[in-house]
Amino acid sequence: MESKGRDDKAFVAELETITLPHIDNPLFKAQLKSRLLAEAALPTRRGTTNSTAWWRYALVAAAFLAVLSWQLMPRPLPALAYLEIEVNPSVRLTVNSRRQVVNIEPLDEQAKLALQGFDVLGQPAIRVVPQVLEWLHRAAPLNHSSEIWLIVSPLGDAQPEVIDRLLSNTQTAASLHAQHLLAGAVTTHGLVIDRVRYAVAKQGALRPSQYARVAKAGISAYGMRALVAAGTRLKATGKLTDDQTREFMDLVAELLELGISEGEAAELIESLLVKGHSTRNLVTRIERAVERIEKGQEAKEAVRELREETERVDDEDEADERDEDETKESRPDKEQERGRDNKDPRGNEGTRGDDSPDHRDQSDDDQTEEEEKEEGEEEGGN
Amino acid sequence: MERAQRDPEAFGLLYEQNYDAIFSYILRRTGNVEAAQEIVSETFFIALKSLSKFKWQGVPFSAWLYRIAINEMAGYFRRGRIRTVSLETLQEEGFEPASESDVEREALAGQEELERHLAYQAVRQAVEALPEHYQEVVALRFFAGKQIADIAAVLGKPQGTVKSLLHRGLDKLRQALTEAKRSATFSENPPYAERRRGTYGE
Repeated sequence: MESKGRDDKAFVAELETITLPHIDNPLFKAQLKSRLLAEAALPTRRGTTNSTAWWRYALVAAAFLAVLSWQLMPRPLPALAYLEIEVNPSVRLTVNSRRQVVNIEPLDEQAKLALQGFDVLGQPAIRVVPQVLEWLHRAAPLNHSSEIWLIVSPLGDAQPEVIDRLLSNTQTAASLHAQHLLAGAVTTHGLVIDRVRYAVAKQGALRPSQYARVAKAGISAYGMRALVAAGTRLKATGKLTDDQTREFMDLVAELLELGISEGEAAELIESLLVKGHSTRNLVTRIERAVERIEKGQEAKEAVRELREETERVDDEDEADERDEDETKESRPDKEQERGRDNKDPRGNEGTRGDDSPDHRDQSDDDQTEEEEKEEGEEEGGN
Repeated sequence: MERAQRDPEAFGLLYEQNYDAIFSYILRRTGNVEAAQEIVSETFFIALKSLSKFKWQGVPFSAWLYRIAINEMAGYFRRGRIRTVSLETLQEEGFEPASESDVEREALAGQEELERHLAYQAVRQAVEALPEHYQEVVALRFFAGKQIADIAAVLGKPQGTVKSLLHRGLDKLRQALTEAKRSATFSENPPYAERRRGTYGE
């Protein structure tokens, strides 16, 4: 028995001398820990003891109270529309269903500077629009040739009559306040533009007045998209400047009168501009085409001739320029001529001078390069 | 421990404190890195899921983990393999595993290291051949370095019972190793055989 005890001790001592393997597996250890923590973070995998059941009831009750409190809390009204005001600079207001301004966003650097410290949130749009005009007027004074554009783009399921009322009320308020500021009349344009065209216009970085003209010309969202794409391509290749964008839009609008599709109109103008022609030259050519159609020529034929004319347009351009120079010398009092006609080719009434491209008529061909430069500066400066 | 029942991070701390000991024990019992990884995974997953059921009754958390590991190993030895938690399911829930190839390489290196411990391998095989009720007592004593009181806590048995089980278990182990020494397989393990010879003064 004693000997057996000694054997046991010796055997134990022997076993204890054996080196046992020790293996580190840090990657596996870290991986398993991640899995465990991921599992621990899942509440559905937890045990369902009485204590957890109690917590579940408490959570449900807390969630119910939270929902109830949220329902009782005053909630912001849905946005009704965007209202953009452009007098160069431009500002966008977001108006709610009570016609209160809930957001104000300058659309350019000049507006950003002009509206520093301007706080009108929660006030009715009809009161905010005149205040915006006043603040903008301080930064960039309006004059009698200024134009005010108000463009409303409905949001959500706004009723058309509500949108029309918003526009007419704010337009009237803007017009009256501008008269007060300048002690005289200022043209105030108003337009409702659907959200699709509005989105396309934003994508093309068009100013409110630019896309307002396009919308006014009846160009669809598809057509506007084509125009924006063409305009972007032309700008990228240096064939169109920012200031000419408006003229480009007007040219397309003119072409639509020939009865051709919007896509074809955009493509035609783009191709003509790519060939190096000026927008001014193209206005003349399109007007000639319109005249030919009025005299009974088929629209398709007129468009074909328009394309063909471009082949020999360079010579004609030079001749036109020579004519213009001569006319300039013979007519020094251009101011008299400017006030002569205030109607644009589509018959829209305007009160500003006919140096506006959308109020062009044939006499615009008489504009000198100097006038063009002045206009460009005005556009750029604004 | 209480915090770990509701806080995953606290469970992570318990994992860090206990992983090495539990993994080493399972590894020494199974003699297989891959199997040890599977069993240790299952052990901690079971612990995680059963954490709310754990009540402090004088049994340390580590003893509770050993108990889970022993149950899982019993299943492993019976079935030869065990069920694992689906990694795909966890990945769907946002878990990003470490590179599988790295983990596999790590396991292979571990297995090679394991194979080098020939004396241990002989003892392990002998322990595995013992009747089940002796296996855990002997293994906890020599593979985990546990004292009688610790073994009693893990197995939930009185210390006296553990003591007698250990005594009988050692007796059977010694017989088994003596038998093995005589066999060809055992004689192919010179380091262990030599040491045995020296101890017993043959």
